[in-house]
Amino acid sequence: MIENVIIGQYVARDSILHRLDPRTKLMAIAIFMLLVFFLHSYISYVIVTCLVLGCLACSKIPPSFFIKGLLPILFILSFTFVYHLFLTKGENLIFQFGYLHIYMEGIVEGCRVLLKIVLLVLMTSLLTLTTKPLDIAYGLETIMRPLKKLHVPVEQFALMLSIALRFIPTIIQELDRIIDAQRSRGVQFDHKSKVKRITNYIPVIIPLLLTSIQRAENLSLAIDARAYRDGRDRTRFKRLKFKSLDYWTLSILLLVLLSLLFLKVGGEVL
Amino acid sequence: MELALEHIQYDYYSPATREVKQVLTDISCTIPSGAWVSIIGQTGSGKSTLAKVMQGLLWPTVGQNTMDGKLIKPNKKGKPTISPDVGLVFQYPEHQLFETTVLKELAFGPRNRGWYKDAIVNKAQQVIDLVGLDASYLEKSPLHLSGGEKRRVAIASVLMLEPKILILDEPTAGLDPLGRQSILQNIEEWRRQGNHTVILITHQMNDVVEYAEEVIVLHKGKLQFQMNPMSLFLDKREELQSMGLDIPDTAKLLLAIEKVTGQRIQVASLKELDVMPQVLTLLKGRRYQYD
Repeated sequence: MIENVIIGQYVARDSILHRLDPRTKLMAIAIFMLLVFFLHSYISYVIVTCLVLGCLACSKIPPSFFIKGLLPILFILSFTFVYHLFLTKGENLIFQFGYLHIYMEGIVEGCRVLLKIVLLVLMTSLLTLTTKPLDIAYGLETIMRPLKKLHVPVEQFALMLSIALRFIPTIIQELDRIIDAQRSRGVQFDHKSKVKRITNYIPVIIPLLLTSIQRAENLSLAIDARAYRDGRDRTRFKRLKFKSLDYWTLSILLLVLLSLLFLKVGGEVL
Repeated sequence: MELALEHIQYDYYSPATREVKQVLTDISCTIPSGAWVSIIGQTGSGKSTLAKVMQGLLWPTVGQNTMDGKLIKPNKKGKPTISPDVGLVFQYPEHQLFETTVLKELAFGPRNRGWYKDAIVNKAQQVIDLVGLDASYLEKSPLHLSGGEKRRVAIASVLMLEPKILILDEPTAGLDPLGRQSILQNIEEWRRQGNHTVILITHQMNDVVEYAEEVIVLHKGKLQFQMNPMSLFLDKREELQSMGLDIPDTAKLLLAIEKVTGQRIQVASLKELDVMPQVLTLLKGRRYQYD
């Protein structure tokens, strides 16, 4: 029953996107956000949509994963669309009913915002689908390292993040074990009554909390025992290194960003 | 109650590697009523999975279980049914304790099965004795007990449901030798009292020879041997070694003596009390020769 939980939804494949440095991917996401912000003319929408579709195809990940990623935000998407549909004022009135006015501009604006959100969500889910959670954490740590000068505890934050990620599978295993144990003591987790079904989880959650706290205490002892101190000058087994592929990706993205910027500014001037 | 497994196969789908792994392959065996059977095998050989299949917590991909000749079927929804006659004590069972008092903890299983309160309290008083604790423990908080006491409470909570077959998955892991002995002794008494069946999963070969009448050896999900401990440990040593399994101290002693003297000492069983007197008389005899 717990088996279908996939942590960090990483999907192992051999693709260009999987091989990219996590830092590149994080920076690319940041650039992409700017890109989406600058979307203006129809041609820019076409370019960026093609870019995203191309990335999706490169990742070798089955499309069903992306569709699954979009399902949870379906409500937000439809709400945003309706909001723009009714509240955008324009010139070409299409439909009128009492206070409701629907303009052509409203439909276009709704579609634009919808497309922007979908593109952003697809791109970010591409990051989590092609990068292991720990790699993302390490990438973030490396990118944020300059913040240390401002006395931001970057390493402690990174350690916290990687410990949290590392122990999710362990805790799920533990959860599975406790559920089995209580099931064999007669708990029915598929009980007819909804209230009973919820209260049935008390004998699962209490032992789980207890063992988690105990584990955390042991872990902190183990960290102390190895004389770990805020991770200063730590070396890593796996080091991140930019390859030519990473430089190429970033330069192409920057190029697209600049050209879109130019198009927008140029478009206004012309 | 006799438990029979017929051609059990269990496949596990791992979402992380997206592969189907065969954990158990074509296992057929019969656990006779009232017997003490030990299951041994390396870590990852499928012992714990087999225990869950025996209780009905996991449903075999292929094959079926019968109890006293009656086939165990899934319920109407096609979900596995947990056999009420089989009790399963998991590894580190103290991790599943959650109630505020030992009595409430013991009452948890029976309450789920709809017992009356009086019956629960009566049974709790019996069971707490069985596991070597006394009635004063019933009002204590299970979380304030020592590791060994918690383990006993957890075993008691399974015994509360009056199982006819008790499966224990490494019940003595992490306990001191004396505590280990006394827990196993308590279980042995419980077995003798009611003609119950005990299935013990363990890595302690010395415990196997002290209690088991039969041993099941699992290796990579396959049943390799089901035989009595004496012939297993004395005659199949090489096979066991190739599976990464050790043999008990008494068997090592007997085999060492056989190597030196060229003759096998005849013993009734591999229990320490059966082997040591025989070995001692032999040693005494030899000392007279040297003198």
